[in-house]
Amino acid sequence: VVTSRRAWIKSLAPALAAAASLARALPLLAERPGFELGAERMLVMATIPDVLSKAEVKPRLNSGLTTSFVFDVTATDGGGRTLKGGGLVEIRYELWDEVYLVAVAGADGRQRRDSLPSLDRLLAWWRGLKLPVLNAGDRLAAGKWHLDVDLSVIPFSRAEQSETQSWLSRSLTEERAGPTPPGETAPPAAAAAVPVSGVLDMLVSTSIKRRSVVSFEWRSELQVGPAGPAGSGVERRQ
Amino acid sequence: VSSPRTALALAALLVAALLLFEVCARQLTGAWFTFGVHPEVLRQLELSLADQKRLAALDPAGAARYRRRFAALESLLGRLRVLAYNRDEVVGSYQTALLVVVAALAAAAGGVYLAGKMRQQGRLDRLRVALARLSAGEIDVEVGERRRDLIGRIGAMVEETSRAMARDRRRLASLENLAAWQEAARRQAHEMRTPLTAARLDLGRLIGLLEGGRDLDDFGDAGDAGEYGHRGDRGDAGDSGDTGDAGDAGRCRRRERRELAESVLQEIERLGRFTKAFTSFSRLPAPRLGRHDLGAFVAEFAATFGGAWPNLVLVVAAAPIAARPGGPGAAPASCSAAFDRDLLRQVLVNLCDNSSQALDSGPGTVTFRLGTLPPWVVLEVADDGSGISPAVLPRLFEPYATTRGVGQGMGLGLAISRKILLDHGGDLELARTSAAGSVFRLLLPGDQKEKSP
Repeated sequence: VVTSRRAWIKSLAPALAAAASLARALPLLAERPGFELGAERMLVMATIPDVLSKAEVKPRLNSGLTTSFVFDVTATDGGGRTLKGGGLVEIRYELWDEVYLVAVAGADGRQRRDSLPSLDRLLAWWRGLKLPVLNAGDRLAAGKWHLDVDLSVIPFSRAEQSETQSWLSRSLTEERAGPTPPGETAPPAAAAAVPVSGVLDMLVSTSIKRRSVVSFEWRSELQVGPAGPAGSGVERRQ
Repeated sequence: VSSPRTALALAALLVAALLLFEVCARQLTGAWFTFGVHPEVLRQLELSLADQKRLAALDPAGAARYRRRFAALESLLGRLRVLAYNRDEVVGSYQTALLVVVAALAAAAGGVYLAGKMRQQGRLDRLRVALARLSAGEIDVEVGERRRDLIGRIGAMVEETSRAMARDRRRLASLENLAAWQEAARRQAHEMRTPLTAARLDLGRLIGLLEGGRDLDDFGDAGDAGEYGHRGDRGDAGDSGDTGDAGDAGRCRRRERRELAESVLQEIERLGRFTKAFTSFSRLPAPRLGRHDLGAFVAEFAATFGGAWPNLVLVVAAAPIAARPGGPGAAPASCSAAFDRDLLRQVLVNLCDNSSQALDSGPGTVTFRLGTLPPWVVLEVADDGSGISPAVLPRLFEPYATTRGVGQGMGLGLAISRKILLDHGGDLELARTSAAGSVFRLLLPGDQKEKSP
């Protein structure tokens, strides 16, 4: 009896392993980016995985800074031919008005802005976002394409980086020259008095970089043909 | 600061130290940065933001003011959050700068030390080579040190020692050469003086006989030669009135013979003068040194001998010798030196004689100018003649070297003059000569060389 029971369990093991693998893959399959060919053969990311709800991203949305989502898309066909594209989504929570200001810049060269009153509306907007990522034109020939999508989440925008750099540099100068009365700027001679200070100011202020706090990678496939694209993929998170 | 390189190295070290101080100061004052990005600070700013909103709701009239405060706080909060994101990078930049500066400072210090060490070693090597050459007996050794630190001063002393050795060797060679010439002159004078004296006495006797009215055939053993010598000065024998024994023809013959004898006597006298010159050259007295003011001595000489040479004007220059590289410097207020006034006067007379004769009776000027060329006191004697022929220059100070014709000089003036200066412990040299004139330089020992040679 014991032997027959063990044999039964052994026969179930492959099935159980397959079921576990399927269970692990299901959420990833569900979050894969989806692509479609739009007008003028513009490759559009029609389905964007929901990264806004993730723990690494969601708290940053309400920081008051502009969270930048930088998409890099690389399309490779079977012959090794490569096409590159991408897009940018910026989200800033306006603390006074308590609205989410969003801006989208796609590969089509157009910018779209919107104001969303709540996080739910933002998530819904994200789910419905169609981001043009590659102006393929005639280059996206019919056939099977592999699509590598990299998403970098940067906690502040380039403008905020530049503004903080100048503010920090100004603050260092004022610190050396003494307090500056409100409404006045520090005299330029203060910075020029010690040339090495200028070098250090530059070194410090330029040390402010826009590094991503979290990034995601997905791999999809796209079958380009008369019937339109069809893709599938898995997510790899960094 | 001993050289521009050292000054540059010190300046580089100073800049590096300032940079290090600046970085360290920033690191300390950068505490506000750490404080500014502290989570508690950020949280309080967030609360303040919320407060501004609540205040605006409670006080709609001041909403605009609260909105401005809100915007300022929001901006500050945003900046601090950006800094907080880059905290590690900013701190890393500070640390990198500090590391680079410290490394640069260490490298600069090490480089300066090594460069200085190598440079000093090179200088010591040059000094060692120069000393080896000096000890091997080489003269005119050049170390090539121009700096005035310890090594430079030692190098200068080596060069000075080398120059002194060269000078002493030249002086010694000259003295030996002159001593040989003096001995030869002494022997020549001795050999010439004896027969000349005898010849002079015999001629005097002969002239005396002729004045006594005797013919040559009547000469027997001569009487007292001294007696005849005195008689030679008595005038024409024809004036004695003894005309009766031999007649007019005999008187004429005797007169002719007497004139011939007197001519020979004159030549003997000339040979005697040459012999005397030999003798004076061979028996130059040792200088009796005394400390005198050379300027006053020269002024006195110019005043006393101003009319001795009709074609010369003697001038004592008011301005001292102009300083030239390698030449003598300006004379001090009092040019005191140890010398024998009589011998030095003889030197100046010889030089003026030469100038006067070189001008060939044309007018000229001899200028005396004082100066110093440590350890020497220098007297330059310059004329405005036509210069000295290059053919004579190599043997200028050798005895019997002259450009004058036969019988016009022995060529001993410059040799005697140099011997006198050498005996003083100094030297006589030709400073320069050209078509515009010649300059002789008399070197007399200064205060450091007062001892008699």
